[in-house]
Parts: sequence; C-alpha cells; structure tokens
Amino acid sequence: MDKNFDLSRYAALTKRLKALGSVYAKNKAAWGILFTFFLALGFAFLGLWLNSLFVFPVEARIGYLGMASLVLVSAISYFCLRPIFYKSNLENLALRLEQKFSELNNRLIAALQLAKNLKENPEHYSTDMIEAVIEQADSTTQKLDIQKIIDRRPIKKMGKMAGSLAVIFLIFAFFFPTTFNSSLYIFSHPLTEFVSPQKFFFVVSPGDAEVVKYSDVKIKINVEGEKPKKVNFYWRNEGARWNEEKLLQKSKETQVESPDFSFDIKEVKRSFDYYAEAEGVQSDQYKITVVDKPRVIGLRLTFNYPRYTQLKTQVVDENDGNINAIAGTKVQIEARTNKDLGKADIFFSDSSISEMKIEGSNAFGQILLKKDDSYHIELWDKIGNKNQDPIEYKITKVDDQYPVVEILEPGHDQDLSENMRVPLLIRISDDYGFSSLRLSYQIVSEGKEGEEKTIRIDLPNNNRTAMDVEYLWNLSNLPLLPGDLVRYKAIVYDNDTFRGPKKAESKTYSVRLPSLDEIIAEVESEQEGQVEDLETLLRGQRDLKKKIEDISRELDRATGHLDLDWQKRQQMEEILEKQQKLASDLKDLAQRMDENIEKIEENKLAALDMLEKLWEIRELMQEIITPEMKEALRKLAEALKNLDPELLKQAAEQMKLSQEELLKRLDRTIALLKRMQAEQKLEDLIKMAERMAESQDEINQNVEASEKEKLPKLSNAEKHLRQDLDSFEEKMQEFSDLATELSLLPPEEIDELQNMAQESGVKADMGQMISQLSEMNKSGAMKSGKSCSNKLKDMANRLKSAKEKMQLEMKEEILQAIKKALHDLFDLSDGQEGLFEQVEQLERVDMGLRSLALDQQNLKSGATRVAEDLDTLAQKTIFIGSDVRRFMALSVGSMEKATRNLEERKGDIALDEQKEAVYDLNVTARKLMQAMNAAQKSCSGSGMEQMFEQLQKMCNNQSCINQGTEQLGMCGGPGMQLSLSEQAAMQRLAAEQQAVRKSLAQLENEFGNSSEILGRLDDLGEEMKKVVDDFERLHVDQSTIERQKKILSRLLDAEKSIRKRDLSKKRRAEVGEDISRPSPKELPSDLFQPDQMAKDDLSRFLEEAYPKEYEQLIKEYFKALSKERMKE
Amino acid sequence: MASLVFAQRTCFGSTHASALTIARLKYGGGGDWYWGASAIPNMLKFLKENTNIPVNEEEVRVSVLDDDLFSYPFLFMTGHGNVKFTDQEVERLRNYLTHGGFLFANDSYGLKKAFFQEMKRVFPDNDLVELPFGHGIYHCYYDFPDGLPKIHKHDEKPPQGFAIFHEGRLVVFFVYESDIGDGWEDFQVHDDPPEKREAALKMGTNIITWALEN
Repeated sequence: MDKNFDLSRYAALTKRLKALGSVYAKNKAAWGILFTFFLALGFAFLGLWLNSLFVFPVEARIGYLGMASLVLVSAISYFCLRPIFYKSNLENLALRLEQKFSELNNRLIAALQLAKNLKENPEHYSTDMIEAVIEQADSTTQKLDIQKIIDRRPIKKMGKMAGSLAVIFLIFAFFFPTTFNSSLYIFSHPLTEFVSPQKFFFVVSPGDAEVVKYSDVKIKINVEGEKPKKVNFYWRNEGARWNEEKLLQKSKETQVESPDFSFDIKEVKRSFDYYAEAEGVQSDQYKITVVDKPRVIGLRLTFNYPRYTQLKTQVVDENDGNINAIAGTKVQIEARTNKDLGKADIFFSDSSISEMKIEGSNAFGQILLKKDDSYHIELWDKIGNKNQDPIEYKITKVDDQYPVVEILEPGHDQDLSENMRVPLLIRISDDYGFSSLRLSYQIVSEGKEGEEKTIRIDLPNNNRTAMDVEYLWNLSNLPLLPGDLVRYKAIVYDNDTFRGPKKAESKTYSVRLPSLDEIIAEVESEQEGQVEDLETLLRGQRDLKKKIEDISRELDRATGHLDLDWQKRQQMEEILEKQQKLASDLKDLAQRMDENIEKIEENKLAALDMLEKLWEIRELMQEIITPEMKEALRKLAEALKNLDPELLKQAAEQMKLSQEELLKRLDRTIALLKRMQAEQKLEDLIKMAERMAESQDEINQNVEASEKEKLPKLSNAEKHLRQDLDSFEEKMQEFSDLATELSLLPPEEIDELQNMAQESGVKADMGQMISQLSEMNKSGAMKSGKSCSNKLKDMANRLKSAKEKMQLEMKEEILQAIKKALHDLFDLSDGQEGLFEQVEQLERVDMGLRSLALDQQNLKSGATRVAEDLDTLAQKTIFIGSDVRRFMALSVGSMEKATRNLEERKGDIALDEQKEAVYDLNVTARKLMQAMNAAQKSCSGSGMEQMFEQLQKMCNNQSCINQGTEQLGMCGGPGMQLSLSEQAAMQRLAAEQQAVRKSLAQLENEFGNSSEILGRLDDLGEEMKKVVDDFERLHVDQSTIERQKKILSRLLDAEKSIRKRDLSKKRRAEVGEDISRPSPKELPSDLFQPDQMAKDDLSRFLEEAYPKEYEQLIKEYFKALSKERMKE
Repeated sequence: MASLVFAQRTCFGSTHASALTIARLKYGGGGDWYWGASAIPNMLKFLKENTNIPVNEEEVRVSVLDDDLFSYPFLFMTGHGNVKFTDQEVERLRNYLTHGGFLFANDSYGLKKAFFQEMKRVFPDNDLVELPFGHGIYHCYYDFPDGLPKIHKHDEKPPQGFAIFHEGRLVVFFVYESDIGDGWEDFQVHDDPPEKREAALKMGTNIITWALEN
C-alpha cells in the first residue's frame, strides 16, 4: 500500500472492542466461577446425602471424588479460565454488537474486515471507503454503550442458585452435624474403610448387670430403626459355647409398654455373656454377673439364763433359731452366712429392729426374752443384696412355773404317837429351784383355832429342782392336850428373783393327840377283830374241807366216764370262788395288820422283839395260801373250764391235801396271833399302869402346889384316873382269860395279876383322895395320892415282872424245843450216814437192800416227826424260818425216795438219795443253830431293842451336833480369825462328833451281821471322821454342814430300818438309754392288701358324686372285686 | 445288685425319661426349702458313679403348682421349721403322689411336726407309719440292717423312717433324726466324717432306687 492510511480510527475502534471483549470474558469467567461453585456444592451435598444413606467403599468414594474433581476442574477450565484466556475475537464481538445495535448496520464488521485490506488489498477495495467505513464504525460505536451486549443475568442466576445451595448446605451442616461431620470425615479420609451405616441398631437392657442368684432375668431388646422380624439371642456361661435362641417380634397387642424382643431366664445360677443379632446387625456384648444373695447357713444360739435359774449357759448349734426359754433369758445369736455382709438386723414382729454386729460373714445379735414374739434376720451383702424369705423364728417365753409341794408322808390325817414326833416327807418341785420351805401349823384346841405359826425347814444347798425333804417335826414343845388337833401344811417358795418368789401350799393335814387309852383300845379292838376274822375263815375252811372231801370221794367212786352234773359243777365253782375269796380276805387282813403294827410301833405299845413277831405273823398270814393250794386252784379252774374228768379228779385230790395244810396254817396263825394278842394286852396293861402312875404323880404335884381352895377342882382329874383304873381292871380280865386259854402263865400267877388292883387297895385310896380333895384336905389328899402312886407303880412293876417271866419261859421253851430238834437231827444224820455205809457195802442188787429199806423207812418217820416238831415250834417263834422247814421237808423227801429205791433194790439211786438226805439234814441243823443263837439274843436284852436304843441315842446326839454347827455358822478357814469362844465351841463339837463315831464303831462291832437292818453305815465312820477333822482344823464350811446332814439322815434311816423292814430306799443310778433299738413293729398287712386297695378305689369312686341309687351298686362291685383279689 | 433298670413311670414327661434328676420342692410356710445347696448335685453324682441310672446332675427346683411338676418323678424336700401347703397345693401334691410321684422329705431339724400336719391334709386317711428295719427301702441297693443311718445328732434320738403308702406303694418317705440330706452335702459344710457321708449317700441311693423301681 502506497498511501499512508490513517489507522488511528481503526485502532480506537479495536481498542474499544478489545476492552469490550475483556469485560465480556470476565463476565463469562464470573459465571463459570459461580457455576463451578454450584457444582462443588452440588457434589458435596450429593456426597453427604448419599453418605447418610450408605457408606461408600473406598473405591466409590475415590471415584466420586475423582469425578467431582474432574468435573470441577473442567468447569474451572472451561467456564472460568477459557473465557479469560481464550477471549472472543473482535469480529465475534462486532457481530454481537451488530446484532444488538442495528444502527451499526454492519459497518462495524465491515470496518474490521476491510481494515485488513488497507495493507494488502487483493480485492482492491477503495481504501477511502474502508477508511470511511472505519470512521463511521468508530464514530457510531463511540456513541453506543457497547457493553450492553454483555448479559449479566446468568451470573445473577447462577449466583442465586449457588447461594441457595450454599444456604441449604449450611442448614444441613447445622442441623445434622454428625452426618455432616461424619461425611466430611469420611470424604476427607477417602482411603479409610468405613462401615456402612446400619438400618437399625439395638438397645439392650439390662446390659452389663449384676443379678442375684436364682432370681429371674428378663433381657429386653428394643430396635431403633427398621425393626427386623426376628432377632437371634446369643448367650453363654463362662467358658462355655454360645447358645442361640430365636426371638420373634411380639405382636402389636402385646407390644404396649413391652420391649420389641425379650428373653426370660429363670433362676439364673451362673454368670453369662449375651448379645443380640439380626440381619447382620449385632448389639454390643454384655455380661450378667450372678451374685449370691446373702443367706444364713448356720445359726448358733447361746442362752444365758437368768442367774436365779442357776442354769448353765446353753449353746444350741442346731440351726434352729426358735427360742424357747424363760423370761429374762439373754439369747446371743450368731448367724453364719454364705458371704461377707454389709449389714444385718434382727426384725421382730412388732417391727422393732435390733442391729447386729458384723464380722466378715458372721453376724452377732442379742435378744432379751421378755414376751412371746417372733423374729427374723435380714442380711445385706456389701452391694446391698438382701436375703430372700428369711425364716421367721418363734420366741416363746416360758413362764417360771409355780412350785409344787406335797406332803407324801404321812399324807393323811393321823394320831400323834407317843414320841410326839411326826416324820414328814415333803416333796417339792419347781422348774428352777427354791428359796425356802416352811411348815405352817395351827393348834385347834376344843374347837378354837390358835395362831398360825411357821417353822423354817432347811433345804440342802444343791440347787435341785425337785427333792424329797425329810423333816422330823417335834411337837413335844407344843402345849397340846389329849384331843387337841394340829393342822399343818407345807409352804414352798421358789427362787424367782425376776418377778419375786412364788409360793405354793400343800394340802392341809392334821395330827391329833389321842389319849393312850384310845390308842390301846383301838389296837386291841383291831387285834380282836383280826382273830375273829381268822376264826371265821377257819370255820368256813373247815366246812369247805368237808365239801372238798365229799366231792373228791364222789369223783373217786366214778369209774369210766364222769357225769359232771350241773350241781357238782356248781359246788366246785363255789369251792373255787371261796378259796379265791379267802386269798383276798387274807390280803385285806394282812393290810389291816400292817396298819395296826404301825400304830403299835408309833406309840411304843410293844417291845421291838414283839413287833418282830407281829411282822412274822403278818407274813404267815400271807403264806396261808400255799403255792400248792394256788396250783390246785389253778388246776381246778382249768378242769372246770375244760370239763376234763381226769383233771378234775387230780385237782380235787390236790385241793384236799392243800386244804389240810391250809387249815394247819390257819390254826398256826391264829395261835400265834392270840399269843401275840395276849402279850400285847400285857404290854398295854404295863403302859396303862405306868401312865396312871405318872398321872397320879402329876396330880400329886398339883395338889402340893395348889392352894386349898383350888383342891376340889383337882378331884376331877383323880376321878378320871379312877375311871382309867376301871378300864385297867377290865383289860386285866381280858388278859387273864387269854393267858389262861393259852397257858402263858401258871394259873395262880394269872389270878394274882387279876386281883392285883383290887388287893392293892388303890381304888379305895383313889376314892379317899377324891373325898379329901373335895373337902380341901390337902395333907390327907397328898398322903392318899402318894399311896396311890406307889401302888400303881407297884402294879406296873409286877406286870413287868410277869411279862419278863412269861418271855423267859417262852424263851426257855423255844430253846429247849430247838435243842431237842437239833438233837433229833444229829441222831437222824448219824443214822442216815450209818445206813449209807451199809448200803454202800452191799452188792448193788443184793436182797439185803430190801431189809435196809425198813431202816430207811424208820429214819424217814423220825425225820417226819422232827419236821412236825419244827412246824409246831414255828408257831411259837419267829426264828424258825421257812428255809429251816424247807430243808427239813427236802430231807424227808429224799429219805422217802431212798426207801422206795431200796425196796426196788436200786442201790445206786438209793445211795444218791441218802447223800441228799444227809446234806439236807445237816443244812437244817446249821440253820436251826443259827435260829437258836438269834432266839437267845432276842431274849437277852441286848437284842434289837438295845440296838434301836443305841441308834436312837446316836441320832439325838448327831441332831444336837448338827444344830450346834449350824448355830456356829460357817466360819474359820485360811485367813479367818476365830474368837476364843468359837474355837472352844468347835472343840466341843469335835469331841461330841468323835463320841458318836465311837458309838457307831461299837454298834457295828456288836451288830455287824445285821447290816441289812442297819442299812449301809459302813462309810459313815469315815464321814464322821471328816467332820471331826473340820472341827479340829477350826474350819467349818457348807460341805461340813452337808456332811453332817447326810450322817443324820443315814442314822435316821438305820433307825427306821429297825422299826420297819424294807423301808430304806435304795437309790440306783439311772442307766442311760442306748440309741440303738429294736426294729419298729411290722407294718399292718392291710397296707398292702388288695382289700385296702379296693377300699381306696371305692372311696375314690364314691368321691365322684354318683347318684345315690348307684352308690350301693358301686359298693357291691368293689366288695366283689376285693374278694376276687383276695382269691388271687 | 448287678444292675439297675431305670423304669420311668409313664405318666411323667418324656423329656426327662432318659436322665433322672432330683427336683427340690419349694414349699411355703417359712421353712428353708433351699437348705443344703450341694446336697442334690452330690447325691446325683454318687448315683451316677454307683448305679446305672442315667443322671442329670443339675438340681431342679419345682413348686407344687409348677406346670412341670409331673416331669419329675422324685421330689426332695428338706429344711428346718415350718411347712405349709395351700389347699390347691395339697390337692396337686396328692395327685402327684397318687399318680406315680415320690416325695422324700428330710428333716434337717424341726420339720417333723409341720410335715406330719401337712401330710395329714394331703392324705387324711393314711398315716405316716414307721418302717420296720426289714423293709426293702433299707436293703434294696445297699444293706442297712438297722434302718436309717444316724448322720446328725439332733436330739440324740434314734433315727426313724416314716412312710405313707398309697395302694400299697410307698409314696412319701420322711426321715427323722437322721438328716440324710445334710449328709449329702460337701464335707466342709458340716464337717461330717467320710463314713457318715457315705452312709447318707448310700441310703439316698436306696431311697431313689426304691422310688423308681416300685
């Protein structure tokens, strides 16, 4: 181009267009940025949304992030960078301007295209034109707002869209931070593997928990999210395999307030792990730890009883918590439990609580027993578990019982005996012992009741709860007159210091002071009655004997068959009945005699040897019915029952023989009894005479002491005495009759005694004294009184002499008889031995044996006579005992057998029998010699009477020593200073005790053989020695007093044993029971019998309530069934 | 006895027919029915080792009114103190016992009075009778010629075994003054000498075998 063109206008134009292009590109880039931002938010939001639904795997996340990054990079490149770097060319801009501004009229595009031809103008356009076009385009564009072609609305739109998305995103992030963060986290860790989110998850209760052993556990499984239809429940005990249980979702009806799934485990015993699983979703694993509840495994109760009960502490370790004890008892409770405790309380029924002390697994508590109650122990372990169903134990308060007192002896109202003493045996019992025992008494004189007084009776200090207390009550100091009554009772107090001693009283008894005459009259009347009764029995037995003989004869006559008609049977039954009645009557008589002997004994109406005789007669009375008679009666009864003729014959024969013996014994008993009766009467007469003499002396003293004016009053006493004398004379008459009948004394002596009172003139003196007293003639009365007294004493002495003479004669007679029997026995023994030698020398079957049989028969006859003599002698003395007669009878029996064998020429057997006979004869002789010694002693004055007197004296002395010791009290011993008077008293008591000891030794030397009568006194000497030692050491304590009491008690026992046989009590140690035992009895057979089974069936069927009309049928059916079973 | 065949009564549940377990009876009244935790397992172990009886060594606890009472042919009852059954329990227990069930009651001390009273309600017409030493229960597996062994002292009385029979079958066996149940326990529980424990377990074997075979 040659021409220089003005290109300024073009440059301005292009510059303007380029500026426009720049703005256009920026506009585009801005949109691209917003768009890219929008895309980024979109990707992020999409990612979050998807992540909330499921967790992408790493690959997907990386893919997603990659894709998003690519898109964003592309978007940035294309929409942000490209508009900047690849701007639109000017022509495009020009075209857009042309489109926008029509007034440009293509000049702009033409200007841009033609401007290129200004340099190279191949088409050869006019340059001017070109310049003109450019100029026009420039000028036009200058006038136009060319930036209007830039549309800014897409930017705004995109801005709004991106802003909206950003706001949504922020809201999401705000409201779902977890999801947002989680997603952010997940996407920020693209290489980390994340678990995909669950559709649901489990809420399990109780989760990890501790439960009590044997409690029920309910596992509740709730599902958050989409609920699966079933859930698998897994559990396992420690160390064991997993167990599976399929749980189904509960129906809607049951879903109210209940978990979605549950599993019940009853009484869990062991700890276990568990979890739930469904559709691959698994709960956490939990653990149920089983803990044992505290419980009592052992109970030990220690009973501390109130002190007054003296009961030792008792430990009961039997796991029995029931308390049964006396009020005031403290019970220590020790509960052993299965685990360490946190707390333990005792709960009482009234809701009161006593806290227990805890030591590890043991709990200790205490209960003071005041009332009936109940309690249980509640335990809590260290984690607060409480024991289940604690046992309720009973508390039973045992009341201290009232004591019981009973007067065993005498145990009835009675007359006071001469010694004015009443031996009391008082039985007391209480559950825990006594504090005191008293005897309360009251004198009733002529109907007036006196003051009630008490005597304290010492109790042994041995804390016993039951004892028999012996107390010899001495009434001699009481102002008693004949006819007076003393009412008495025992009162015992227990030792209850908790509520105060309780007392109990025995039944009230009375003792009456009778006059001697009353007693004598009573005794005599009884004795006479006994004799009469025995004589009646004798008469009856004689009649019976005839009847027995008649029947026996009839039975003997009956040959072949025996026609036992009704009448005969009646007769025999009558015999049987009468004999049985006889036995009963004799028993009654013996009983009456017992009582009478006791009365005689108490009132000293007879000497001891006489009492012995009375006892002997009493025993004879019981022996009247011999064993043979008893056997005969038994046989007769049997024969009558069986109607056996042969047996009846034998029984009748035996009855006949026994009846003879019975009559003999009855005779003997009556004879002895009459003899005793006579002796008794004589004894009574002596007593009466002595008593009258004493009374006379008493009246005399009163006369002497009285003033004249008062003398008439004393005449009444003398009148009474004269009446007694009348009574004496009557009794003397009775005695005379009896003595004459029994030839006890020569007739002339009997006459003298009978007339003694009359001849002495005592009766006349008494009459005179009565007159003198009435006349107030004191000196005369005194003189007459003295005369009376002397005469009465003389009478008593004469009677005593008569008695002694009678006894002496009896003794002589008995001794002579025994000597004679002994002599006869020796002769028989010699004869038997001689015969024995002769038989021994002969050939065993020699004919000479028969001739010796005669000699043997003679010896037997002699022996029989001796036996009869001994029987007769036995009627007179008690010393010929049954053993003497038994051996004699054996001897006679052996001789009889020897005689028979000799007759039969059985030499060997005869020799044996002869040997036996000699042996029995010798034993009889030895026993007879013993009897003779005893008889001699009994009459010598140093017999039983002396022993009794000595013992009585010893008892009295011991009683005084005991009393003295008690008064002295317990004193002395180590460290204790005694006063001089106390020391002297002890020395005196030691000497007295020593004296009693010596007396005992002497008594034992004299009567050592009578130990069975004395009782066991053998160790008493030793006991006495210990007491003496205590005194000598100047130390007296409770043991000394107890020992003394024991000594006295034993001496009294010995005294009693003489007074009455078999009185001493022998105490035997109790034998403990062994735990082994015989088998219980066999079971009743009906337990297994079909009959029982049928009955059971029947009762079961009937329980089914069948109609009435069927019941009978059912019963019949089962009856038949039962029979069937029985047959099987 | 060479072998013992375990004959399960047909009226009892088949699920337990193959293995015996002793069901501890839970009773009311306050007595400690749960006394002696180791007793039943020890007894069952002894039974397993010394007899052919198939045994499930785990103790089962059952009340009279439980549905599965009839699943257990042998009930063991022990404790001290009081026992009380409701009328419903009395009726059910009677049904159980008269239909093949067996109740072994061990007086661990102080149970006798209440037990006798309650048994009188269960069997008004049948008394508890003391078994003679010759009864089979004392000889069926081990020989006890003198009856029950004396395990614990109690009141130092001789031991006694009382029974109730129904239709000739022994259905209730009550042990008094012996305490076999305590003898089954671990040795350290009561310090019982081995011979006492052995005697208790042997007597227990007799009771169980007698209950199952008769």
